[in-house]
Amino acid sequence: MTSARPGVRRKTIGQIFGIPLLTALLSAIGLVSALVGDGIWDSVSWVMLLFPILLCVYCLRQAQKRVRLLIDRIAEAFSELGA
Amino acid sequence: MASASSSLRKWAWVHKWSSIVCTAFMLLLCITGLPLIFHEEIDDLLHEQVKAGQVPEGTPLVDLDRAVASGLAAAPKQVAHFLIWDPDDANSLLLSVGPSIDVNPTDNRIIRVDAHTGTFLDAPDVTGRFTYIMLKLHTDMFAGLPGKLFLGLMGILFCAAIVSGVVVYAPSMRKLNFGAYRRERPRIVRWLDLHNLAGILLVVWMLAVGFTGVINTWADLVIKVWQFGQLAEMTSQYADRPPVTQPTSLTAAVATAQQAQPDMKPAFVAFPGSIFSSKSHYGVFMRGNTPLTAKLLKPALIDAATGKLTDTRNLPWYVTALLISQPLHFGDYGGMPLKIIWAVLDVITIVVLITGLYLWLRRRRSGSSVERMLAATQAASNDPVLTS
Repeated sequence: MTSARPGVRRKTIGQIFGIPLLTALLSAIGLVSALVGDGIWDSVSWVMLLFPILLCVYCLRQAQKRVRLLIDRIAEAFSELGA
Repeated sequence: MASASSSLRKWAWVHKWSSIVCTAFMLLLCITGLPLIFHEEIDDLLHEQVKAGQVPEGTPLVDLDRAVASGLAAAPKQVAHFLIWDPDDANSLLLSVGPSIDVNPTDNRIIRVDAHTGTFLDAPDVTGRFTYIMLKLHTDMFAGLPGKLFLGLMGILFCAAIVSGVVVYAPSMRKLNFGAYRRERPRIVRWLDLHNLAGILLVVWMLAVGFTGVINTWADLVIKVWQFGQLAEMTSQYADRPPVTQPTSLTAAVATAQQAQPDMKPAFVAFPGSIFSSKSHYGVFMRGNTPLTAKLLKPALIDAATGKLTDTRNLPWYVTALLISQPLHFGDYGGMPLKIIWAVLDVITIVVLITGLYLWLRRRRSGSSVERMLAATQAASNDPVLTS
């Protein structure tokens, strides 16, 4: 939430593209490794390509947690008003 | 600064228009592509198949001429184009037959023959199958080569949309942490966040599958170039010779090819006159033994009149590029787990397409830009309680 507030410092290109770049690198390794060999190479490929999927799920779940916190805080504020 | 923002506007324009044009077709490709990832499993489930006899490892193959003869006996008035070593089942051989040697082999029928006894197994008509319909929709929308090339063009636009999307991602994220998903905000904000997050995480995979898909649409052209290039060169001294009427033994031809390439295995044989060979040669296509070289092919041309080796060369780079781009598009090169990952990534791509489409529609309806609308919702939520 705080990050969206106006007046907050703008992110640098490095901050914006850091994680995307890492993901891109891992995906590329994942795409190639299963092509190179079988067995362990296949497993490396699964892990590398699973990374963006898991990261996506993680970010969405984090957001869910933040919302829960927010709702708790609003409820708290209302109960204080009532008191 | 002014030039930076004007170039950004150009990238935004590219992102918008490339996406608008290709989205409907990309949705079709993603949806039909999903079952195609599992086409073998689906076919196994939906269709009965005569199983080839199980034999201990190392059992020699049947005499190939006999296998071809028994396959052709089950298909009157058909001629053999290719004999294929079934990549999924070492116990069966696939014979690709058409009504004449010079018809387009994409409509060929496949006859399965037992690899060790040579007996006919079955010749299923695949054209009514679910996977066949999906495949046709996916590759050319039942519109032949023009349909294929058109989908290739859509694939190029898709790649342009991805690259321009990376550029416009930066200003969109200037004030946000990576992976920000503002769940409490209106749908347009949530879906923008989802579009940005899923889109940026899948950039490399979407580009890889998108671009290799484009390359696959050029397969027919690549084969034509190879035919008139390397193949014509290898068989130039035979160009004026009449077609062979009494071809030599196929088994001997394969053995000769095997001798020339002892470290390789036969992948398929193209019969004289078919698109992968000359009028006077068997084209024996050998593949390597390692996972990478197994995807690559090396043709050995065997004179069908004498049974002698004419020439064997590595395929030119453009055919190699096509052969490598195929597994990268299909996702069939890393076992079942990779297929499942492919399917999940495909579904996430559908999410990126749909959220992108929604953002554009909302913007059109309200007549304002997404940015302006975001600013408006941001102002509305500058309520002290919500932003605390």
